[in-house]
Amino acid sequence: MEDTKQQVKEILERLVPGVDVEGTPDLVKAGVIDSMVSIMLVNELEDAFDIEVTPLDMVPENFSSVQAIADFVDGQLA
Amino acid sequence: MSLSSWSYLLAFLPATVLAYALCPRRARWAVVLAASYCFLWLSSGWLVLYVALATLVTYGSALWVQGVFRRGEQAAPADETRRQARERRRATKRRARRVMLVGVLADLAVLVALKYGGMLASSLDALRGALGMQPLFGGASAAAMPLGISFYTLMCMGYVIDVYRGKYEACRNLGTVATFVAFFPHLTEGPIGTFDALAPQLRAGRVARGRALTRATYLILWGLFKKLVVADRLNPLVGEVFANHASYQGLVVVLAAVLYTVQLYADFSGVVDVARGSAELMGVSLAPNFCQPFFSHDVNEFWRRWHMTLGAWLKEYVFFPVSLSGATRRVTTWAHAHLRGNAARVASTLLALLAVWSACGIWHGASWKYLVYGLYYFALVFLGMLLEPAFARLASALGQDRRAPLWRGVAVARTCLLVVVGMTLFRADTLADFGQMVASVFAGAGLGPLASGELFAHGCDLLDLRVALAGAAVMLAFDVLQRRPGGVSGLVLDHGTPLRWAAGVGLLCAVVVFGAYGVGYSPVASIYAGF
Repeated sequence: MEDTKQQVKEILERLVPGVDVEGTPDLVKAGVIDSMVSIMLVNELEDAFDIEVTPLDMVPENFSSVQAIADFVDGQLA
Repeated sequence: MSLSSWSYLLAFLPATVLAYALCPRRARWAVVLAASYCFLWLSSGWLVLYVALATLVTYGSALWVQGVFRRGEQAAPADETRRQARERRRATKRRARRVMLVGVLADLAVLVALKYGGMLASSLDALRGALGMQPLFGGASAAAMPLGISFYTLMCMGYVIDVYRGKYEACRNLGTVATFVAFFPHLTEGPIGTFDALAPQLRAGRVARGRALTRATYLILWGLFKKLVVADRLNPLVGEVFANHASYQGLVVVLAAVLYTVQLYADFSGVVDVARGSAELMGVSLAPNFCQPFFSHDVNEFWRRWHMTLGAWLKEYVFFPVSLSGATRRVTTWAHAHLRGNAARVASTLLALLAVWSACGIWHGASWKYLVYGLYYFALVFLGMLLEPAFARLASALGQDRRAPLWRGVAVARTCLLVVVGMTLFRADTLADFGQMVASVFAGAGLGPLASGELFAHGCDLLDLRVALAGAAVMLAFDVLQRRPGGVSGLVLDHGTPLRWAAGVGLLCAVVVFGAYGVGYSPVASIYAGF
């Protein structure tokens, strides 16, 4: 779980450099993760965790924080 | 009938809301449906049958999709292994997908045939002519279209796709689906609604009272202010320069381009506010379509704040599916193998962005010019993403903080400039006209028509321009206030009765006194109603 979260954090920091990804309360509402970043993030997550994301998974709740993304990934792996 | 016409505001809307309020709650949806078809009939005559056809196709295909899934589940044997269950679900999904595509393509085919048939035929004939072949269609003209076809087609397609995705169940009540598709406030210019957001509200049969009634009235008055005081007053001047652009150059062309941008914003957001206010009178809350777009720091953000419901539709039904498609995955794999860092990441969005901006462009009209308009934004967004690290490095090397107010102000000004160029392309009759207008900006100062007053001899005199600019300044102030917590509605509605009445009466007086209507003014059709 913590390992997933750490990997997600590293990927996000690479995608949006200069943003405090853990300190931002809601990454989607803050505009850090928009549709473009979400797709780049999904591509990285699919590569890193060998999961498959569908359009139905592309909802703000799955991308609102590092924890939410890690939970989503863990849910896909389960 | 347009939403800003007196026949709508003084007769159709009050009569509909009165009948709605007097009707028993359970039957109010039927009043809305009857009023919507009456509205359509008055605007489109027999073409209303296309709306009925789209409704039946949408209703039937959504139920069919759901039936495929249900039968797939019922076919599960008791002793089925997990692998067999997975295979069965995959097969069911493939069948449901085929049915969904039939429904979506049927809706789309009518839109393409009616809206783009003439353009495609003349383009094909032009191509055959260039190859020395005889034309096939011989100057086929565009077919007549029912009002709002571009809007309701997207809503129909979205509904069927959502049912396929399992977002919600298909509706068994044909009346509810028909009311959702034809709901008269959002039919003309949107906002483009989703079934799960609107159907429960349409069925609830609520009537606006108290604060909701005040809010609905303000929305209508504010929308009319933008449409009649700003947009319609600017229309003759903008129309003159764009129609006779060869006679103008320099600052006059720049002025017309800027004023058209203001006109379009005032026109489109004004009519959408009237639509939202009309819907709220019947207890239906439509999605907002604008969020202070001219405070955006880049064009990507601009399109998240401008025509938001179209952007949301394209994101949901074009961007994400294309982004997660096999083709994009292949591009991504290639990019990761051949490119590095940001370039590889940005390349993974290439196909989806191209699809979204092409669709966004051509949705606006049956002309290749609109495709170029979409591709203009594609190029800006894609290059912006690609060059982002270079901009960051440049700012860092110069010791500049890009979050500082000055830099943010520069970014807003740059975005406004790019949007004005885009709007000029959008408004120009042809690509050649757009090119000539851009070239004429640099051909000279062009102050002659301004200084001599000749520019103001075509239906928009200096007083019209002053009134419109004052109205635009009020719109700007509104957008600034709207950025505060609670926004303008909180500022006005949460205060005492005197302020509420003063705001309402003030708006009404401004529309009555300064609106461009009556003797000397021709009614101006809503710009987006033509799409």
